[in-house]
Amino acid sequence: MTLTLKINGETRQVDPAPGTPLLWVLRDELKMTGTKFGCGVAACGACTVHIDGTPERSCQALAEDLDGAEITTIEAIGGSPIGAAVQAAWTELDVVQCGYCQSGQIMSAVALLSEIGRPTDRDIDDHMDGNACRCATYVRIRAAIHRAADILEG
Amino acid sequence: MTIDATRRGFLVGAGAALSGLAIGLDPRGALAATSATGGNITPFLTITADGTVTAIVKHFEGGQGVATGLSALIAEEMNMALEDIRWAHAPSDPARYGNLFFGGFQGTGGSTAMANSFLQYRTAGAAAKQMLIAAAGEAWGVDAAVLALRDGVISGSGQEAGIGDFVEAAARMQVPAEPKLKEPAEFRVIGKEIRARRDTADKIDGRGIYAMDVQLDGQMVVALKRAPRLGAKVVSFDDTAAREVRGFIMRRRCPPAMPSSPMPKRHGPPFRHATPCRSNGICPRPKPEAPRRSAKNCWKWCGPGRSSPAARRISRRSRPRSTGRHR
Repeated sequence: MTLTLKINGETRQVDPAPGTPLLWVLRDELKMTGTKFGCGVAACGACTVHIDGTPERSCQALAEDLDGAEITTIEAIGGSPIGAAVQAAWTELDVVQCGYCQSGQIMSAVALLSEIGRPTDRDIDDHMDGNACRCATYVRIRAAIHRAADILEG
Repeated sequence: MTIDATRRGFLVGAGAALSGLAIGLDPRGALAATSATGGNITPFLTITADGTVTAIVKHFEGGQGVATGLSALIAEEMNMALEDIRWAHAPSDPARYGNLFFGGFQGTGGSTAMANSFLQYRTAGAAAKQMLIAAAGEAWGVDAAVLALRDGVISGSGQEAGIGDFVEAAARMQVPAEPKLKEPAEFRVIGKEIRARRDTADKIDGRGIYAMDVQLDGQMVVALKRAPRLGAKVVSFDDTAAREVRGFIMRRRCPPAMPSSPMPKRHGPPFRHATPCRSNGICPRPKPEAPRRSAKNCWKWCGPGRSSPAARRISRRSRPRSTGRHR
């Protein structure tokens, strides 16, 4: 089935089998492998993308339901001021280890900072709850979100 | 994190500037240099004509930080900031990139990466520094002893220039067999806490390529249908739904199940008799009378030829005789 998706500001024609989740359209069809497959059941958060500005697990979002939606992935998140600040904070604090979950972590962190400019530890823990990290970088993630808030305030 | 790791692709990539300098081991294991136009060498570091220094990391970066660690060794000996070193994974080439603790095969594990590479990468960095300074001395007609290299700039005798100016001349030089390494008291990078992980950039904007992200032309995908119970044997298999998947090529029945104990017997008795590893990394051979110990102190994988208690425990756990409930 031919679909038109708006991904990172670009209009893309794709042809997935019916019922294909957005994740696999991104990874297999569009070769955008920055969005990661972790669990396939929305339990880990590695595949998080923004759909109309809201963080969503792309392994659960069917491509055919996304006609006309604005999709943003990790590949383009650095283009927004909040995304750039989060990436800068991540770099400054050496958040990443293996990095496999970090695409999803960053997408969730950007969504949080878009909603709450100065989140508390509690806000961060609540919001980032669905993003698992096997390297257990959680403490640095939390510090980096605070740091990104600092950067954004200037 | 390039996936074009064929030797040809690698050399073309590493030597994008044709007048680059590359320092590493020749097939006999001796330190050697080449202009990156294609000498018979794969390097530990390359320097291009614009002065960019790239560490060629022979170990797998899995988040443990080896890309940063090996880059630090080169930064140290070349008096550069860690932040200024770029890195790339080495191609598969055990003759040059073998793990010295693994009897030569190219592998990463057991906390061996830094220890086995420590002198190799420092020596490569020190050799590069010495050759670049020598080339500058020749170019300026001064004694190399009065020149110093710091932050990518060679200076002394009233002159100053970036290292890129000298890579072409340095690449034609004989590599010093025993370049002088820094004394530990002179270290500015090694042993210091520096936040400059070299692998972050690729991992925060989707560029990093993980095994699952590799997509080659004509690549086929295998999906494994597992038995619903441990140790079950295939009686029948309905592939109707599989055949309806777009791109379906074939289905095959897997060979019979793996042997129940994949760990060779020579690794010694199972965990209940194992003695903990010492902090120096040596694992004493287990004594039959040794009492049961906790797994807590014995997580280390202690080098080739011995599996960790944790690995043995896991392998025991996954034996088919288990009748654990399946979800």
